Amino acid sequence: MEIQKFTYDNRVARMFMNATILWGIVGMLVGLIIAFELFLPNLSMNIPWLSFGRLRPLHTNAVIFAFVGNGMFTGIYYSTPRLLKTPMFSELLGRIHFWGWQLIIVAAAITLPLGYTVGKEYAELEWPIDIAIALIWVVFGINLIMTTVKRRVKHIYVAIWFYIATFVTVAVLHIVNSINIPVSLLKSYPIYAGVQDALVQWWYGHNAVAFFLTTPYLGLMYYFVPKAANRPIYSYKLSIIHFWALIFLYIWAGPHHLLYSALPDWAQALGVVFSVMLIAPSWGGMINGLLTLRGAWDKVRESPVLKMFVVGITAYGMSTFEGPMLSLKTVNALTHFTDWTIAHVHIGALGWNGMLTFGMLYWLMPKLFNTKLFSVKLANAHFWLATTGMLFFAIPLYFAGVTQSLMWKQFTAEGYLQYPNFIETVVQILPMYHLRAFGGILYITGVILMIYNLIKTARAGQFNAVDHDEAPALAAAHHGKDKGHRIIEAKPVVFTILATVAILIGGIVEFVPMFMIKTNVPTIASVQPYTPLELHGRDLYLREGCYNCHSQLIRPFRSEVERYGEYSKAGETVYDHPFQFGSKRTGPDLAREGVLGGPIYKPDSWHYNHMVDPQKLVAQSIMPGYPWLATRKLNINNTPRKIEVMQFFGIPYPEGYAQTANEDLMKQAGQIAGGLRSGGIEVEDDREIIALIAYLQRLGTDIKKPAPTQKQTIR
Amino acid sequence: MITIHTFALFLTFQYFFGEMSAIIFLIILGIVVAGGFLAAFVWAVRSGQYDDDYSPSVRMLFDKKAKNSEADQQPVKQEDKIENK
Repeated sequence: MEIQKFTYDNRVARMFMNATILWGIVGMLVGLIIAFELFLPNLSMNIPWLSFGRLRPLHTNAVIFAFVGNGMFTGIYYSTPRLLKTPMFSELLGRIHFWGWQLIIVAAAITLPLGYTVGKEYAELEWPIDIAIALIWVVFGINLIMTTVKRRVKHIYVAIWFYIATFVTVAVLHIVNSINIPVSLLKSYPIYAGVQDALVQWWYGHNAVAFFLTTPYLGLMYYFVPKAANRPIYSYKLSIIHFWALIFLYIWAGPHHLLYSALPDWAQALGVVFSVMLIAPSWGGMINGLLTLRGAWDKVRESPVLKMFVVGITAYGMSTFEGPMLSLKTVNALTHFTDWTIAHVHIGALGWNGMLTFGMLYWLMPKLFNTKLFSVKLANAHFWLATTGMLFFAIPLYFAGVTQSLMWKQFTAEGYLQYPNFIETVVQILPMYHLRAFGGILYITGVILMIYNLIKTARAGQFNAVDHDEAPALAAAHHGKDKGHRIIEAKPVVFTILATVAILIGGIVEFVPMFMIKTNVPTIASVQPYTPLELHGRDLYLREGCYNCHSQLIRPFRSEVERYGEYSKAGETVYDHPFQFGSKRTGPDLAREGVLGGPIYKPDSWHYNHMVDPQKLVAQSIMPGYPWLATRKLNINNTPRKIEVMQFFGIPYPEGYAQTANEDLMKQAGQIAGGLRSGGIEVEDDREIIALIAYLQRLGTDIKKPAPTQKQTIR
Repeated sequence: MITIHTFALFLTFQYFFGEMSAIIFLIILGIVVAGGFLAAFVWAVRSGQYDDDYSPSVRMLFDKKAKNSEADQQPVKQEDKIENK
């Protein structure tokens, strides 16, 4: 048997490792800033790009795609060649992947604070960046799959299966959820509207958790935990079973983010059932990881790497227990829109992803630099800081979530809301926000210790650019069949992808009449498209990230109908590209903001003053001011294009309306600004704030109006 | 390519199923993805990937050792030697 010699390149893995550390600290620092902004709202000093609504997407994107993303690539580029006994398919592709990914992150870090956003959580990036992500992801996929094809071992170790599932599914998710029609270079609208958009978004959102934060990290667990403990995984059989079960179940769980929404009940139930079933494969992974250390707990005592792995895997188990529980409708009624959700994702992010990444880095850095870890003591200190930091983060937020939700739902004996002012329920939980920020400080302090420790480690050693290995060629080892079959066998995943593409194309050919599209038939006749000014206002609502703190979805509970007004209907959102249901109520729901005489209606002047300086009207408010809206001129040059895109979606603006839209816009702006001026507020017609007020005053009003006559297509 | 097709497919579904076409669309897409995984699973089982469900977990622990006897005759020191290139 011929023995082949080859080398493993460590340089790309090292590049990803450095990027993980760099973006990790950046993402966490932004998180810390916004944690402080939640009780010091004017920390942003009226600088637009420092306000919560713009930094929160930066935080989530940086932690998910930059920190965890680079973390997974570090582990994948290190472990894949070693598991498959072959170098990565292409070093060049590896480098393109690395630099492309970093470029995308930089583009995100610039555009998100500037307010360029699609307005869908974790899918905020605008269309040129989305395309770049798709391309770079394919580069990664080619590199991974071709390495699998070129492997020198017959058996594909379970970690590789997790990596492959990650590639395939994230590609599908990203492409389907990011189909946006451009208005300009940095502005686009998603093709889906309202409830449909919500469904696609949360199908994506939940599976981003599943296939970006979970499956690749389970792959890393299956490589690095056995390596660090120097003993095989507890049950290889279990790893195979839970892998296949996990990927089959996860893809259906998305609708649990839309419980009690206008999504059909059966779809909600489907999401709940699959979410509950997910406990089994998830815990299969946790049990397998933890039991790998059976009989080796003495090693855990001594090794900071293993300690971090143990806490990380335990956090995985906890959050995958919590997830199904939160998916139950009764529990969800209490926890949705509250800080419980934030606590839940941070058990996952700080515990599972964070700890696993740190453990991997502490193990990998000495290995790559052929030396020992600079200080085990410091690493232990980091471990304790991270663990206590995580608990200080999550536990107060559990209390905050339940406290606030119970206050929202509390009625007096006479049948009135006990806390009708939303702000009362906010003030109550502010101490919890302080504790959470303290937890964040602990966690970041730990990361800073780690960076020092890792730099010292790298300095003490010498970098192994390549490692050498040898193995017999695969072909001679097991293939004895005919040639044709061998080719199919060698390229399973390529064939899977080709089959997927084939099915997609086949489906399209069968359902041809694309140009005959008639979409968005409103089920509520009185629901009309937004006026041009409202459309601009809506885009400002997205730009400032209002959806990060305000929901637009009133659930059919007595407490919510009392507080906000009539519950939300599916037919009301058919013109919403994108939907703006939101997922968190740091402030009150806005779905019926404009309903005159409704429970939360406010006049134009109130909105103006509130936007410029919220604390002037609500002393204890934690909303930051948006004074720039009152001074910036509204850009109406792209109105025609915006209307055209909306018409392309099938929204019934009159033919040729794009050209005359700005006339209507100025007329409506003149009315609102005139009203404000007559109330003593000095404001010009063409300011951004006018558009935002127009939008807010439109929210939720349509269902009360009479259905329009045929001539009257626009309000 | 795929993006355009996906877009076309969605719009077509919207045409036929109206209001909740996204559900139909996602269910079909989910079945396609799951079907892809199923094909991969069937391939894995039929090609003997899981005939041995123990030794892969042990083998991955050994980095710089080939599995056959020829490799064992190689001096270990040489294999572990670090080279910078």
